[in-house]
Amino acid sequence: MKMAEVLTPLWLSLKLASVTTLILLLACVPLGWALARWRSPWRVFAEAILTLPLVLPPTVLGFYLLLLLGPKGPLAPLHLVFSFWGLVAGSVVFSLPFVLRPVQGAFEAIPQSLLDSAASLGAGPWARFAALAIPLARRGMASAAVLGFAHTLGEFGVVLMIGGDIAGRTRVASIAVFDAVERLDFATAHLMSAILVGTAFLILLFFSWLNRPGAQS
Amino acid sequence: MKAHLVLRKGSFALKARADWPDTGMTVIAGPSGAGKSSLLRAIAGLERAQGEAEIAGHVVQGEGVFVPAHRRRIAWISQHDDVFAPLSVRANLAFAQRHGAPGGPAVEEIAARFGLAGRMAQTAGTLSGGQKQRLILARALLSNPRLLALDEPFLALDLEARHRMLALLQEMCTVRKLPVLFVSHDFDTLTQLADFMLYMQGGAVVAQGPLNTLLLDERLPFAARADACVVLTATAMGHGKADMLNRLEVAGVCLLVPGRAMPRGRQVRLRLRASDVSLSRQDVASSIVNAVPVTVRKLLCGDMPGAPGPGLVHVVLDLHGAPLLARITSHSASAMKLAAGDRVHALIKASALGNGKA
Repeated sequence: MKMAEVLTPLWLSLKLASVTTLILLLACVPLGWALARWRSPWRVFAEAILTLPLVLPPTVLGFYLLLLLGPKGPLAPLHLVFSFWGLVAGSVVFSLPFVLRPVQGAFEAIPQSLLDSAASLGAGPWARFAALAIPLARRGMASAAVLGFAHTLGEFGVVLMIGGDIAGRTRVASIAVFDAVERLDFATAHLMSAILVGTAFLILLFFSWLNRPGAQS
Repeated sequence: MKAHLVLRKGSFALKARADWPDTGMTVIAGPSGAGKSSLLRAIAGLERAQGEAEIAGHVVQGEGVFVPAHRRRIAWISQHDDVFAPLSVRANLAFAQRHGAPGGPAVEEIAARFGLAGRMAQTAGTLSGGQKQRLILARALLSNPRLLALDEPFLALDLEARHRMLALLQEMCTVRKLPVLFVSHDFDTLTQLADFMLYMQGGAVVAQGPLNTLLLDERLPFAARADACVVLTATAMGHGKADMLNRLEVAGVCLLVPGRAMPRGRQVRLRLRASDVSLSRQDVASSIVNAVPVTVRKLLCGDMPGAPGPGLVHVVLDLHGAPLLARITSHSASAMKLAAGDRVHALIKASALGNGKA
């Protein structure tokens, strides 16, 4: 067992989860705010589409993304297939509902009368969002980040479809475990699995602590 | 100020035309579901109503104009504890000052006046109910509004705390010459605060006028109440060292009122309950200290609107142009042969007069 074989995929997984979480937060905070405020019959359609990745088999998602990003797809010029940024693109789609839902929920939990009070004090739409809604929803955003991060760490199907299994480039921890088992290298599989279990546990512990009863919103 | 606003919300329709003074305290009263809160929200620009509104000399909506809520300079206070809970008291106050119109009061001055100076670093969500209400009112003043719009102010507080808050509100708004429009179905609150009343029913303003005019209007539910009253403004003329009574001048007569000495010249609101006023043909000396000559305007009795109930009569009186209401038994009314136009003496229980707040 070479340490690099264990550490490189773990490091790649962490990098992928961090980058994905960051992108998702930047996208979902404005998107969640817009959805929470949007009064239109179309809102349910938008919500259903944005929640699809939650229920679709990852392979189906990966398949479509492959068609989209692949050599004959419309996004082929970006050369994302079998690259780290391809993994990021796939993970962003795959983990989107896990970040969007808690963020949107946190925004929806802000009472309308509070935002109306702020407006009547002279705060315009941007100030209400940036100076009030974001601080009020910060716990929801922290939960969303933790969930998105953990969910990206655990993904397998989408990553395999888009990224393949290229050591050092797209071989993330979950795939490395699969590889190790396939070649009957149980020592490596044990070590990596134990590290993943430990990490996931710590993350969920943090998540539960964030959402502990009696915690200030 | 003027508002002519139309708003549809599901099965409810607001169609209100209101006209009220640019100064002082105006109450929007009426039964539940009359549209009081909707009218207040529409005036504040929080509901997208059709029509025109002119607030403190500024057209906030009209032909092709709709000034959004955050540019109307109408500070709206809801029935809820709308503090920005995760922010500190200081941050709550600073928010209002930063986004409000320039030229408002200083944060430190307002914080001190509202008893929040020692709590500036505290998280607003951890304040008590009364402290939250003080913070919300302080925040509204810091935004330097042209109109303060309150929906059922301080209703969640106990009676004593509410009276203190109402007195503080009245003092701050009088000093700053800030007009107030507030919704209330609480008779105690509206008689303590209001100078003018808009009375709503079924989404429309069905009566509007000075407080006493509407309190005595027999088509409205106030004149028939067991605690029916009028509110008079009196001026303190001095305090007797021996008898511990304040001399208050109301409509050219002097009333004696017990209590702490009021500074000479101070304006005081007197809430005179009908049940604390009785009538006599003669000027009698009794334990009732105040006997003032009045003219009988109207008797509300029997099945008449505004009548207090079986066996009782409400007598509307005129005290040199100021209204007064007396509650007597029908038996006394017929024994005295009371009729409109009679000159009689109103006996006012002095202890009843201390209630009104300055």
